[in-house]
Amino acid sequence: MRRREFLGTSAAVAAAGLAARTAFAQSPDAVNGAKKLKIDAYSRHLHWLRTPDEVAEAVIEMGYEGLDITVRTYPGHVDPEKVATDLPPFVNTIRKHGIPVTAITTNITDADSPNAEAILKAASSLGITHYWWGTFRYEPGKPLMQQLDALKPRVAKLAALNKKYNMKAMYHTYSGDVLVGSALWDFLYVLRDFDPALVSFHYDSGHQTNAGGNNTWALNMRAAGPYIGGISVKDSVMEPASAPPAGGGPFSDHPNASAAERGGPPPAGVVPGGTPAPGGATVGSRGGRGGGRGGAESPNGWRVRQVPLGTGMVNLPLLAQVMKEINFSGPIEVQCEYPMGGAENAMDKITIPRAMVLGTMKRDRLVLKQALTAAGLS
Amino acid sequence: MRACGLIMLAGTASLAWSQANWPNPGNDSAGTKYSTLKEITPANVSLLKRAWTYDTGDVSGGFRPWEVTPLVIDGVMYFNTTGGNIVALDADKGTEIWKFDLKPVASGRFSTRGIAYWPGSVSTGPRLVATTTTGMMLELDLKTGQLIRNFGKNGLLNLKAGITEKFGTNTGYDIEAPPAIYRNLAIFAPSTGEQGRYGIPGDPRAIDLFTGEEVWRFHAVPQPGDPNFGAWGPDGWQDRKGPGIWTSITIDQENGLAFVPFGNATDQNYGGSRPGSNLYSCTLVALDANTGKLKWHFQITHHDIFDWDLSAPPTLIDVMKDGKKRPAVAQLVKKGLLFILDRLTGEAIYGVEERPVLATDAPGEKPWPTQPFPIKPEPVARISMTREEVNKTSPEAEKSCKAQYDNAVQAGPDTPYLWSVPSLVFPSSEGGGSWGSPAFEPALGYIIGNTRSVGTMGKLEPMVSSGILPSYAKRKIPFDDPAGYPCSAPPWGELFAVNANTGDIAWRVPLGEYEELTRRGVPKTGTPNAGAPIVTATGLVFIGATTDSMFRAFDAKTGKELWATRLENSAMSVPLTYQGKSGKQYVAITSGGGGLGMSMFVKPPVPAGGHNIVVAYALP
Repeated sequence: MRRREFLGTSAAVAAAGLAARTAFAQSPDAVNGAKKLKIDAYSRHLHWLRTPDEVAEAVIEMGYEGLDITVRTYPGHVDPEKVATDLPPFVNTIRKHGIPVTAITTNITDADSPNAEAILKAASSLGITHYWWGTFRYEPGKPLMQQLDALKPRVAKLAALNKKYNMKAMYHTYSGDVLVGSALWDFLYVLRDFDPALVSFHYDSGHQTNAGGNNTWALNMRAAGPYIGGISVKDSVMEPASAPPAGGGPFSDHPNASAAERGGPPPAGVVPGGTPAPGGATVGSRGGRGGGRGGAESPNGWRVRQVPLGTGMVNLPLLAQVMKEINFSGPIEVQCEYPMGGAENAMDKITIPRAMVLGTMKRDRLVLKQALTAAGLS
Repeated sequence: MRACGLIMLAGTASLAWSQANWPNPGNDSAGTKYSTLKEITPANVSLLKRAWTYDTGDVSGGFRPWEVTPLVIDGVMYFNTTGGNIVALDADKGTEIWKFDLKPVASGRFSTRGIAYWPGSVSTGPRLVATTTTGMMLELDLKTGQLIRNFGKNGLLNLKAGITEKFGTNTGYDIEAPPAIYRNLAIFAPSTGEQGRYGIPGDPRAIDLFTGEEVWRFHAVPQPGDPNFGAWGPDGWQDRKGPGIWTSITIDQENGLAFVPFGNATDQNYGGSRPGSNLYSCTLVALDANTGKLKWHFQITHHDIFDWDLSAPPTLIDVMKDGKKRPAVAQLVKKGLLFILDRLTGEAIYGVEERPVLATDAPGEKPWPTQPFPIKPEPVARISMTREEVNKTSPEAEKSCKAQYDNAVQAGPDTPYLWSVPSLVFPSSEGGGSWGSPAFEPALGYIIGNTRSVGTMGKLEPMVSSGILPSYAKRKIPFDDPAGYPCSAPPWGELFAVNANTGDIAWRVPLGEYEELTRRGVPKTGTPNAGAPIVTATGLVFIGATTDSMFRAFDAKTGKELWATRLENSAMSVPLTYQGKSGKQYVAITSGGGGLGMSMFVKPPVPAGGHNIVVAYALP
């Protein structure tokens, strides 16, 4: 903008520039003695990059400070069947680029899950300390407390395995009435019989905000305290099912957006060089897993939609504040489950430019970083 | 409208006319900036010496540089100054013939980018046509510099009348570019400003230069009943400010077309009050020059929230494709792209595709999910970057630039300004393509232009639009290293040639130099620049534009630098070449430094001080 009115609104240009630079900068160190937390990228959103070098370059490009690697069947980055041979070179290559790896994502539900011990053994040998754990399902019609009591032996066995390998399991929390842990207190009832150094929650801010609205989630989180082993941060909104389809890119609810995101021809009404007119609405993704699992539509037609961090119902400043209160020190990752060219759904190909995916994920990191910085955690 | 069949004293129609004059800012009204003069050649250009210097007395520098290109008619040079004068000089000597002072006549100043020449008729004689930043149009007798008192009211035609009143008594009507002359019509538009939901429209208008009457007006924002009505949401079209025009309108004299490069929509960075594509903002519009009726349009940025106004005049060119000559128009744009369109239909000659771009996260915004990109030519400026593409001219630069990069979102071309966190926008809000527009060398078929590749870091902040409407506007800072150099990897300024007949880039070279970096062994980086090149029939490209105060000549075939001379100050302008009454060929340029808008993004700052001058060079 080289316009006179810019001067009119920004009379002291040089001073404004300095002030802006200061405002744009982030504090490099924690304040008030709080632990400095780092934000991991989640490799599930980078499945379209297959080699560890490619993944590492993307993580550096986005400025994330670590990486949570998917140890899951393809398109996971490391095949659980080959974890002993494939995890070490992947992790070592990532670390060669200066990127810490403290956590992996697995499908381990209990000690008897396929490849469970092989995964923990391989990860432990690499100095990895945390892994994604879950998920138990409730059996409809049976008393909940009895079901929770029945889980304790399975948790005990897993805790023992964790102790053997010096690993901490992080049980991922969802929302809804199907999965154990969605209410948080329910699985806390199980976990509190065990050492939080061995078994813990992987606290999902998006699901837990939906499960504990009006900041009730903060009570649950405080109650869980040391059992919050890791945190995955994402955001969502509730909206009427009758709302126009969204899914048109990270921030857009434009009806053309879905087609654009697919990278196909311009939607109806968009005439290159002519008059682009909104039209040809298409139903896009509803926002990845978060909108599905635990995100059932209400009888009145309300549903959950995943959105970029900081634009939905998740209270990031309060989340950071509670993290500080409970002395949280585990891994944090950002989950980007809103439309992102397929990356949100762990696809091995993306339909929007690489820079858009990485820029979108970087934006979420910066938004979270702001909240952590404000709380003195970064 | 008075009949157009009046006898013209001189023609301004053809793309490659042989002449000694320079009667328009772009030489011909097609804006080619091409001269057929042949005295100065690649073989002798190194012998050029300064022939004369004219000091306007105006202090140089400031936010807006002196961007005027003088006109030359029959051995006399004409130009307006920042001090409010129009000056006539002997083009061989640089001595004053007459001077007209605006101050006793009207407030404001003359349009930033010059004045126009109207050949007039037998009865009127030739005249200069000038517009002011206060909404006035006036005519001067070419020979004497006398105000034509029977034009308008005592010599001043009030262009504000009937337009500004409803928006308040202090509402301005700022015209920043000289009118385009088509027959007896002066075609122009106001710049309007870029912030504020409500305000004057940026409607292009045609004024009869004989009578002062308005012949036609085209609605910059389609009104009910107009073609393309409905691109601004339910009521966003009502009393919408802009989109204005900051630069010249180009005329296809042969086909009777006016090519209008529209600016961006208001508010500049937030479109919550204007859901839709927002035609004709950021759109190249072809109008019937006689009637103002729409011929075709090509929107280059849909629902602009980037400040991607079309800042450069379109350049009319001919494309040889499949053995046929095809009239075309080249539009260089701020986002670093060059669109080559069929002049008669608006079709992209080398194709265009809509590509997804990141949307902003501003609350209430309805961003457009795709933007058009030409298939060819490839971008002529840097339009995105990665972390590894930072300035590595020193360890300190790399460290600082990476740290800054890590704190901003860069999501490829058309990365928007965000509400939540800073973003890094290329090629900056100042733009990649300069306002001067490319020149066209018809023999080679080369479109020759200049670009800059620097980034802007910015973030949306709340503002109140038009005093009543909650909105957002960007706050921005330069993306530069501790020493003040741009934080992206060089080159930071380039001169390029695109082969119009293939759509391929023929060559691109750094434009400008930081001598202290060269001394450290850094390859020539180019500097940010503003202005444009001209090209001659002997294959010479002349351009100032850079922040290093140099005036250069390049080989049009190869881009090789052939000559350079230091000016007293930077020349943020377009040079000209002409033949004096002596028969000698001159190359001239205005130099005034300044450009605070640019120096915000570039350190060391553009040199300031001294006076605005005109300098002319010739062979000994």
